[in-house]
Amino acid sequence: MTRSTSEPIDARPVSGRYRGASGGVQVELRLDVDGARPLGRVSGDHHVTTGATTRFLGSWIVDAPTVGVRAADVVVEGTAICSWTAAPARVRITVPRTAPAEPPAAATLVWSDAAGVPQATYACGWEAAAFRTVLWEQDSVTGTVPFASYDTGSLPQPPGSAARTLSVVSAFAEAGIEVLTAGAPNVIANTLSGTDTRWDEAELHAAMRANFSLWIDAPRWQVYTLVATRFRQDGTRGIMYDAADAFPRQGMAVFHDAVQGTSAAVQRAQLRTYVHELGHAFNLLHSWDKALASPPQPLGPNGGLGDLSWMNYAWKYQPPLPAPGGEAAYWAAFPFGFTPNELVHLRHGFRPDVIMGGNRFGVGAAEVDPDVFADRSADRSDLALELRAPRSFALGEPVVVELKLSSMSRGPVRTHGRLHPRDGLVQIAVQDPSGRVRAYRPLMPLCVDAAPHQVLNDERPALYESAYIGYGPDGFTFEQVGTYRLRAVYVADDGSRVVSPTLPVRVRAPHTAADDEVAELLMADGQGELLYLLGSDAPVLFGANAAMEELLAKHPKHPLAVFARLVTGVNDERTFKMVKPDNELALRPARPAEAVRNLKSVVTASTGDAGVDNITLNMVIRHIARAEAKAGDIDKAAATLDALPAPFRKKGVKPQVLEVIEAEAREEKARLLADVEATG
Amino acid sequence: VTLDLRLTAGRARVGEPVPITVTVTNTGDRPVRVPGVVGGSETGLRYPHYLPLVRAGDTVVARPGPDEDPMVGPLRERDLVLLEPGAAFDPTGPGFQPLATFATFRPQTSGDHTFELTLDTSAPGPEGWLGTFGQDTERDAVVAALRSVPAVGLTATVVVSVPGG
Repeated sequence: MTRSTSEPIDARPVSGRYRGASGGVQVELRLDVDGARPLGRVSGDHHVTTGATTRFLGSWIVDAPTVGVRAADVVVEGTAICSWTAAPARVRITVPRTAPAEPPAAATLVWSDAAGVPQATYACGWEAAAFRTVLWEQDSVTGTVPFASYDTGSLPQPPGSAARTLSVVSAFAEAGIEVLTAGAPNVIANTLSGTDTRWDEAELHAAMRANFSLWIDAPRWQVYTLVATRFRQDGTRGIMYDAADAFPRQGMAVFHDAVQGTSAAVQRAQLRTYVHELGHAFNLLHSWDKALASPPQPLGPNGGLGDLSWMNYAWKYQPPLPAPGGEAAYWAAFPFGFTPNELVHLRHGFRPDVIMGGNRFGVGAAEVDPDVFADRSADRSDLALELRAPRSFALGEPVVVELKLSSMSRGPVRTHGRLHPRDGLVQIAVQDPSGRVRAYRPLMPLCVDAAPHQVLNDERPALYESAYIGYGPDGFTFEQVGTYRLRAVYVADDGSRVVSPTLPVRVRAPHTAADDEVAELLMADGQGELLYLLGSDAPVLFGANAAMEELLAKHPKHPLAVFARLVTGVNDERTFKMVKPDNELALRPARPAEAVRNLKSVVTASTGDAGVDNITLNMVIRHIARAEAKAGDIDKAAATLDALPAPFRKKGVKPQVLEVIEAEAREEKARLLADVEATG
Repeated sequence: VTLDLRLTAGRARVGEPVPITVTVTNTGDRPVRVPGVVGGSETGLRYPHYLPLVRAGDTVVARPGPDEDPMVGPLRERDLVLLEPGAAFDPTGPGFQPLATFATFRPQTSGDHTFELTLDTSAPGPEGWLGTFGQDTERDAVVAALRSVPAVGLTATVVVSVPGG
């Protein structure tokens, strides 16, 4: 959040929940930029009304808004990531400032497209200080005692955590969530069960359907609690039992026999159990389980076990050494709250990911933060991962990153060599200029059953791979100008997650009209696929190929023309198979002369710092050799491979890397000659 | 399959963590899959059970706390480590859960402390192993891999002497 303040005046905070409508679309706006614990975010939900029905349209969030605090108003602006479209939108929210004693003013939300052209304006009246409101109905079984409240000053607590009386309602209020008790609290007689006081999940679910007066199989901001006697399994304190049906997370239970007691320590633990189970109903996972969500969430310190959160277990608490862990250490440090990431989820997570009856437990329960990725310790893996790329890219330039996996051990380290994200054993998180973080998804992931193993030792201390990550199923990854932050995770055979340092990458704005046009041509429809596939004859990519040709025709000397030549040249070198309408397979023969011409231009353009990266350059020279072989000039192909290491020698790559390049060139030459001999 | 506990390095001290290394070794003549510690293992909430305990004399001074709830994440194929004959691994190592009972225990008195760990993989069926959420993706692969997990009930102990003042 970027903040500017013109002058300090005594005014009420503008954070809170607003509601407005325009043209049949209703907006819930959550402004979180000031007040007690601001997260520096703005989010909202859109609903559309048609006839007598209203349906949820989608959610959006601005992760890093600009906040301007002026004497008369507060202006919040930023780029919204929307759940219903890949295209970002611009939002501008203006809220007049009012004195603390005056009622809150209405907010004006202007919704614009990515170019800044206003699409809709919503006048949103103030609704509540809470970001979300949930109705909470609680029943209990005869003989049980529902939890009321706990005075946090009853027992020692961490400095900085004020002594206060906390109930379930006020614990969530501190998180910015209003929990309103609803329905009459029923006491359920346990006469039918006789001496069987144990409850299982099916019984709890049936009890919810029978007793939850608000119950409906639909997403609703409402949740049910049953204070039952005991669970089928001894010792279990609570449960969110509604984890996997079509409208999950609507009910939780607490088991009196396991949590009962009146001492301060018992009351404190009871409060934790109630808030913890309700947290599950909001789709929050255990602190150590967050990486198991879909998509995976970042883990807190020490694999999540160091989280000071309602969602951790007190006895499992393990901050990084030498700090003590365990139950006593947890309570000595726990300030009775959620972690910042959990708060973002509760206040601003997309509605289906949070609302009861929305997504299944563990699905969509994520705000990915690349900084938190790093807290996952990989010290014992003996491996280090590094992402490398030029400091900046032109808009439209294919972003290719180099991945380097090195050994940190004095002895040999055996590990798999699958460094490309398409193999699924390396993930790359990308934080865009608006602050939103997404996992890069390869366009065509591969299923890797057996990863080839490599030994890292003195002779070969590192493995390298390059990956084009500019395009995936979600579209272009780097379509905005600004600074991105990348971080990769390598999953080793033993499950170790080796995390790279953060790599900042800047996408530059076009300087000239030619830059602008080239960017347009490289980001036209289908271009991402063409770049990802390194060319294709597919009819659906006809327009993309035409755009490449236009680029080469109009801007042959532009620095980015090298990528058009790369794509065209690699595609020319291959024989392309296509299935015809009559289900017959057709072959387009290779065009070796064109391939050699285009690819040699790529090599020429890449001898210095410009052009393609080293790993791609290596691949290009191999394609040239293959094209020469296909043209029947085996000697030339062999000579090309013999000379393959030369450009890298000139570039001054490390001797150890050069040795690997030389060895691979020899292997490629042997393979090529064997292929030629085999095909006659 | 054998289970072994040992003091990792150095010596134990009053008030300080006691680093314990857990090792599972395939002593057989064919490859087997052996699970590491996953959520719910330490309390016996789900298989594999890895049940730790620390005793000072006859008194239990550390054991797992209660399960707040029965929510456990999916068991994944990679949680079942393929061990070639003679190979060994640390089931609490990277990619697995640590044993909080051992990791957070700090002896308050001097004298011998017995660290005990029981590994139990003898679940009657695959349901006892699977997660309560997120299991769908890998269910079939995990159930198939579980066939390679030998049913064992093993207990290992190590006595650690904690010197006085």
